[in-house]
Amino acid sequence: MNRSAKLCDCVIGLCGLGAALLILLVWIPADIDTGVIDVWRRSVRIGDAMLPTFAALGILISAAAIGLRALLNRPGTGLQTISLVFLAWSAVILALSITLMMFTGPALTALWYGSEVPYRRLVTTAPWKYSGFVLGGAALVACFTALVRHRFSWRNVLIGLIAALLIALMYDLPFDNLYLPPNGDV
Amino acid sequence: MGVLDYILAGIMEALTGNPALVLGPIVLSWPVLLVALGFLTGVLIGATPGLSGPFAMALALPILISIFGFTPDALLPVLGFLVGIMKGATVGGAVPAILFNTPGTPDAFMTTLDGYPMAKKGQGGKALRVAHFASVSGDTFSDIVLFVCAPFLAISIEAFLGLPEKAALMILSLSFVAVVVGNDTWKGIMAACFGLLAASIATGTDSYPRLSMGSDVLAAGLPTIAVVIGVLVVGEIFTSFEDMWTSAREKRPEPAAADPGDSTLTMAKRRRLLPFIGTSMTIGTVIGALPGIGTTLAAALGYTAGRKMHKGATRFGEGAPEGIAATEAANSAVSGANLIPALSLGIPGNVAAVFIILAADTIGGFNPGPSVFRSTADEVNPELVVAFALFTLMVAANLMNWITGAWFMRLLGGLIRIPKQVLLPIVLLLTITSVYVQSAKMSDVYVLLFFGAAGYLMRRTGVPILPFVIAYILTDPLETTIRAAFEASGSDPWFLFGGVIAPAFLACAAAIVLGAGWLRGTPAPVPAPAPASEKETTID
Repeated sequence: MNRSAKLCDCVIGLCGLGAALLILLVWIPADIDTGVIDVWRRSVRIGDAMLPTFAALGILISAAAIGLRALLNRPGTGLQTISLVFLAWSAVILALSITLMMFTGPALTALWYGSEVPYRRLVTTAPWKYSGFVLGGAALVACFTALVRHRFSWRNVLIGLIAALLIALMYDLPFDNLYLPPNGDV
Repeated sequence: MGVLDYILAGIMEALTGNPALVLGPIVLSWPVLLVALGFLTGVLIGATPGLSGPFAMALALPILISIFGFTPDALLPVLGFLVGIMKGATVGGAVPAILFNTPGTPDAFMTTLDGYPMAKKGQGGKALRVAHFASVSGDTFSDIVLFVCAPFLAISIEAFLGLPEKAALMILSLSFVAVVVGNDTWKGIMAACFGLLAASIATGTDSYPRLSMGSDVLAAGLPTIAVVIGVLVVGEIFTSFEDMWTSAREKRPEPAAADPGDSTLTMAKRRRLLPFIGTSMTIGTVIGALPGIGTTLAAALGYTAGRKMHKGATRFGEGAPEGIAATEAANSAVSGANLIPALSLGIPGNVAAVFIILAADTIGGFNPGPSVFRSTADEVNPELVVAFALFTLMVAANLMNWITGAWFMRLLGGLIRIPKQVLLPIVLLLTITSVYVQSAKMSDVYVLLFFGAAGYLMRRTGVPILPFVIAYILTDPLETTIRAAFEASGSDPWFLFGGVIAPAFLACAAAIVLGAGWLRGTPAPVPAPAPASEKETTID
């Protein structure tokens, strides 16, 4: 068993044990009104806590087995590379794209109409209803393409804009009752 | 109604029940139209390096539900489209394997072994024809087995198994999937338990939605489609992103497509392939009927069996058409047989079956399981009509596959050139959009991304995905059955151990878990991460 596989299994074992104990000792008692077995009008029934308790016990036992196996140097399936830099960049791109989706429409409306017309009244009016989705979607496509290619190009931005616009039109033109993100939440 | 009446009603429902176009006596129904569209989409998706059938099903399901809504009329068109994708992607997957040496799915890797050498010799078109002939033969055989076995299995279960036995059978299936999928028993069990836990949020019989932490978002329950697509699709997209990010693929030239060249496949050559196809499609069907065992094992076993049978001049691995036939017949035969446990027991055997069950659950009016095939003389069972209509649509998809599949595969061979680095970000945006439009709530998108991150971490740490998804789908029927069995037994704490069958199922489940090492052999050593150019996106 190589070192990274052992470390991975130890981490899985510890995380699983911690999570299972937290679920069993804190979450289930605090957040389920009936117990594992529930007595209601003298009839004994399976309570709502039964299933999550069994699931958490399963996690506990399997995590303990995985951790123990790693400590005993038994072979496991091990770990593939996880890059924290990649994860950080992905989180930034997702946050940026969703922020653009959420705030572009209201910001553009405020710039154009001032405070007289809130964006909520324009969520069914073109081009306002597309603005947030197309800009945020284009950012998502362009940034992830740039990330995986290690280079930024305006061509990718154009591809992102076209893709986001086509997806927007695909949903919006045939269906009157569908909202593009984030127009249903405004 | 008799069985023949149900079959006729199913055929009529599929072919004429929901007309899209009526030209005199000719009726083109929405379900048939959607099967055709699904098939073409499936071939296109399967032929696109980096995408696979389950990807397309995951993306299509929310879109289809947005189009057709939750009415009873929506069920067959949606199921038809999904069936079409399933079949189209199965044959389409051979295109990049043969022409680009790029397996779209792990099972297609075996196709590259003989397909690409044939393509390099100028026989790419012939290789595609062999792949199509074997694939469609295997698929058709598997469907026939499904049509015959699923009703008999369901009727037997309904007749002989009570509530405790059904609960024990679900536990057995879940144990089997947890153990055989992936390379690690304990991680499979952990994934299944994680699925049970996630599915128990905001469900239960009490007025307070359990484990909802007082949150309004959680109190409404986790959106099933967002959870399943998050783990299956978004997790895979992030994994592929990271593979591409860490590799230097962008600096390498794109693999050159081989010229399709000669594409003739005479009847005599087809006859010579039949023994290989027959053996492999039998292997694929048997493997496919077991829940959780995917196409990869079927392809590997089919290829191995074919190699033992082969006595030709061209050896396997050097461009033997028999190698392609053995692989494609085996992996295509899995798709129909995988629906046997799904339709007769309500237990999804693979990702495609998950989406079929998810569509049926979401739209309503059809609950895959033993009750579907219940038939009484004095009342009509509408679910049985839907089941036979679904079989009719599968036949329609197969006919379309026989008639147009080979031509379409060759056509697409020259068209698919979209780089994965551009394609997958667009697929991610499409996934986010298709989940959002279902409910118009950003909270669903956050759930999608959360479970996408979970799916990514599970893949990276070797925790298998399928046990999580199948446990998530099975939780509700499992808990309902166990509750009902407990109450029917008069609150007997040993209710699962009464009689012979339920304890036998539970003993089998325990034996499978304890004998996992024997079933699978020792866990595979950790492979070094392959460069992105050698890996492809798959959620099979």
